[in-house]
Amino acid sequence: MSSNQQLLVVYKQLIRSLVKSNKRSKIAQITEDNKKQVALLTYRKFNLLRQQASDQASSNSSKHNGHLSELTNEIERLKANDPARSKALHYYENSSSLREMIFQNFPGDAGSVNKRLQHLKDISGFVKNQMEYEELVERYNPGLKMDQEEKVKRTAARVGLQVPDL
Amino acid sequence: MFRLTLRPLKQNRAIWGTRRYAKGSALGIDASVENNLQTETNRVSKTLQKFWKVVSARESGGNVTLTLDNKPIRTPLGNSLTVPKDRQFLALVLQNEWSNLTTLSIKPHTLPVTSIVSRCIDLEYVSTPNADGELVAKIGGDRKQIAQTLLRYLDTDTLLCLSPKAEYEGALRAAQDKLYLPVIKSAETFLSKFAEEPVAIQVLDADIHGMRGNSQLEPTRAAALKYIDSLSMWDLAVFEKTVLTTKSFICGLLLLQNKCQVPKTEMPITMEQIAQCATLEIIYQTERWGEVEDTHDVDHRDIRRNVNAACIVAYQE
Repeated sequence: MSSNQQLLVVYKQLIRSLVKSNKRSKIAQITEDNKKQVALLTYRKFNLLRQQASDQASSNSSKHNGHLSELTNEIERLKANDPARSKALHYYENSSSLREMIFQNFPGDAGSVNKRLQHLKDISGFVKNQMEYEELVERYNPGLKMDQEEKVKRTAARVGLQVPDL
Repeated sequence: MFRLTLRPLKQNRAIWGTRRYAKGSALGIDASVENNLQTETNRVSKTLQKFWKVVSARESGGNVTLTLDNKPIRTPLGNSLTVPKDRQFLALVLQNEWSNLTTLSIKPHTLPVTSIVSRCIDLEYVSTPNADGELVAKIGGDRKQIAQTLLRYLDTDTLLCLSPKAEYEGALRAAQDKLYLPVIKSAETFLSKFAEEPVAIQVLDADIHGMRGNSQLEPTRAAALKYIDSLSMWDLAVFEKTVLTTKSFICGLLLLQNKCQVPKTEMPITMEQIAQCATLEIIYQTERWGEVEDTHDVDHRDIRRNVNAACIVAYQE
């Protein structure tokens, strides 16, 4: 196999491990963003409703209706959005610059090519082991990734209580 | 070293207990001194919150600087997280590391490469002749002290302690002979370049020496010290990380030899082999007695991610 082909194989392997390891964090990020967005929109919706209520007293009520249903739809859409189905999970966003790094200013002699090949394998080894390490730590320490709300809920559940929904 | 490693998590341990991670026991670092410089790395380690939107790498004048929302990321001592352009793979890995953080996922172990690079940059910063003595002490940046502490690892190197032949029906010893002896030989040859006469490395053979400590002869120590002194500050930080992870001076030597500029090395070895050398005894122990959950499986990944992180930082073409 020519060195170029070998580089291609290693490049693909690296991209695969990057995509795989980034997937989890991307899902978490999208979820986090969605949550923030929903909170913001809900806040706006409540403001509108309040305004509408006060406007009703002065009898021009239907002014905000269009805007209101827009907000409601947007909130519904965000809530229904499943981050695990996002297309962004299937590619690595810096792949073009990575490709450039690997295939441009290509080293001439076989020794340097081998060194680069080996190094690319080491990078995917790092990405893979880092991901597996984080997964294991998380699995053995389920409290690590819980937010405060979740922790309170579970602590209460331990003694048979339930935290009221607000 | 990155502050993250020094601070316990504020968590309700009693109930959702966390495993206690090895503290950054790093060489000479005084953990009692709080570093309150307002830098990005300190902020993320203290608040464990994500406070940025976009991570990017900005190129300027032969360097690549990592930025958060267009502001440079700064190391614990306030230097910007900048790497030379010929370390482009490193820059890419750093960017990847930062762009994959989420608020709930920021933990002391999530930025291993940043942690080493920060140490490299800060060590370089405090190694200038008119550096502030307080800063040097803060990050344990006294070169002589680092060298002395690292040198002790050569006495009790993982690769220099051989098991008795009776254990594991001789299988472990056979593997050690096969893996370690050639490596020790090449390390001797390599270190001899730093001495006038060929140096010998003392091996602790359990069958001959029984239970006692090991120590190297003065000429060997002198050669090893000379080797450490010959390293750049950058390489020294990588060397330190590797030695601490593998508990082996020779592994640090191997890693640097395989990753620094010269393509040809007298001791070619892969990172996986280095990790295996460092954990050979554990491999045989788990084979016989089984794996302990939350220990062997985690440590297996831990050593590999650390060795590979170190090699990514060391790599030069």
